[in-house]
Amino acid sequence: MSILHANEMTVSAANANATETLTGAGFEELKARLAKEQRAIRIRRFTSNKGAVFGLVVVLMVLLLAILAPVICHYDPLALDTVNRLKPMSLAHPFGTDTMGRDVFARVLYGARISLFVGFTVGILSGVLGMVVGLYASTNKLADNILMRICDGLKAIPSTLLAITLMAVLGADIRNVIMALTIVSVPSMARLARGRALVIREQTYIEAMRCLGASKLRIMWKHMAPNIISPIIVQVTFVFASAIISEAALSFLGAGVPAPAPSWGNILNEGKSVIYQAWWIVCFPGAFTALTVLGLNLLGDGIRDFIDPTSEG
Amino acid sequence: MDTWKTKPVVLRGTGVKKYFPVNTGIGAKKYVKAVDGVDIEIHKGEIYGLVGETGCGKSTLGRTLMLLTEPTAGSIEVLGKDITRLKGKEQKEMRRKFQMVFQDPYTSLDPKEKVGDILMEALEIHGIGDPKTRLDTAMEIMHQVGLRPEHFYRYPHEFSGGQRQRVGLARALILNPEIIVCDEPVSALDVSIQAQIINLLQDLREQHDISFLFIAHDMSVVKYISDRIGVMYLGHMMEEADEEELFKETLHPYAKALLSAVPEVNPHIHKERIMLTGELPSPMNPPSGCVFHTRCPYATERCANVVPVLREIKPGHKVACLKYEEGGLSAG
Repeated sequence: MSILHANEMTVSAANANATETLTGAGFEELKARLAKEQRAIRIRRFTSNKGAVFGLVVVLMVLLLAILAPVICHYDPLALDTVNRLKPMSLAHPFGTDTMGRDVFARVLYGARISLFVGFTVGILSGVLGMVVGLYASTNKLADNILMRICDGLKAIPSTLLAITLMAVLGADIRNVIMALTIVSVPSMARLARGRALVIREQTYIEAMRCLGASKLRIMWKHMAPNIISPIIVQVTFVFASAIISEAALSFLGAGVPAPAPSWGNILNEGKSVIYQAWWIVCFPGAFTALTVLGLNLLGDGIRDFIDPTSEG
Repeated sequence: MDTWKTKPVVLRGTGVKKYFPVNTGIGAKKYVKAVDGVDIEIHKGEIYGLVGETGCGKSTLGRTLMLLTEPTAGSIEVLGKDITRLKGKEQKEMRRKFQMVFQDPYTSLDPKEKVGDILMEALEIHGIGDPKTRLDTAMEIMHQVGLRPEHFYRYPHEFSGGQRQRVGLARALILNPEIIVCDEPVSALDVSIQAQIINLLQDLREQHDISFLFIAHDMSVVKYISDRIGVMYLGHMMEEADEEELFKETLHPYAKALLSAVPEVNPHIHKERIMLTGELPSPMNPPSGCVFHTRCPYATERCANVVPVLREIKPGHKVACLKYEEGGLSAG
């Protein structure tokens, strides 16, 4: 904060009574400088959170591995090589091979694509839906009663069981996995958004906006949404992480991403029957899942600090 | 002085009532009578001070006049136009004419919005000007309330309480309103900052000829700033007079007690304080007749039965007390 005050001093000295003189180029310059300053404050807040930086590095690395999978690894994750079944780790197969001789390293990398895609999509979808539901529920009594009762109903059923049931009805397919996991995670998101929105709604600045004549939509999206988004974003990273686990659980139970395509869950599923002969099949995708989830949770914490201008970090 | 007296009325509330329903669980629904039939008139360029103890309904009156809560009964006119029944677009149009400054400068600004955006948004809502002229207007207003240009891109939490209240004032001013309701605008600030804000209000009144309804519980602040003062008790207006007149010749027993509580600067002047007995009655179950009769040292049997009306005793001096009514108690 000391940098801030120093800046203020020099500026006020430079234009002691400044409003009249400050036009055009001078203003643009001031604007650019202050924007830069704000950004610097935010970045400093984020980087001072060591956990968040670690989380960001982990997530970026996993993301990079997933994107660069064809460059890093020359094996086809689906190519069978029955001669080399259950081979332990070697230079040729850094993570060993599975029951059908497929390269586990390749399967983990390509599986990261599917797992991350599912997690990300579920996180974003449930975040957006949860926020819409929560905001509308907080401003309309009737909508509140209807939407929240639906959420209560959904929450009453254990989420994994609900997801399995939905998968049984919808059929095993990646799109259905996303849909099922979104349905499962929206209620808690909506509850969170509604709870925050009910607090924000009573704040004086919302009343001040009404006094200015702002429309309901403007108040809802321009003033309430930005103020409830911090906990939502943290929750999104948690949902992202838990969606990866849930997808793994669904695939593990055979109700997730269908068989030949690799996802961290179904690699685990296939590996479990041979866990005593070939521990590496289970170990590596498991480690990747755990590390990614940890990274995401830490990152979520950091993003909240970055977004909220009032947090001291 | 007192040029406002001849000026037209900007805001007129007639018989304004605001009841809040209370859920008692069983039996009939009860109401908190926060404001129970108040008449108020504010002239152009006037600063009207509204005082009363906590819970007397002064803030509720202010919020009701600003249509932040719908009045239970009565009418509110701004520039001669009844605004109580206006809906949607018409109400939004009229809102430009009356604005509000809030008590707590720490919660009345959106923490996620930069000061410049807060100011420009007011113009944007009403579709005034284009982005370029909005920026110029916002800069101009910031200069008027004593904020520097570089504050434009700062977030509210980077300001002190006094500066935030300046932002709140700038937001109210930018639409060029006729009247601004200030709901205890200085009670959350340090004394030295209070003086700055109050002087700023007076400057603005002189420059723009804006009327202010200044709600406060600090008598010394109200005495300093107001042209006219109204004293409220339990949702009723008890006395209303020019600032000088009210302090020189207080009529209502409640107002007397309230004014006697103002500390005197000179330690040699020994002022007699009138101590009221009893508690403020619940506005859910206000006393019959005159609401003050349970604590009034002059109360008679008649006070418990007859509701006194706010009557003009002398030019510009109104009081709601049976003591001053013809055939009432002997004045003393």
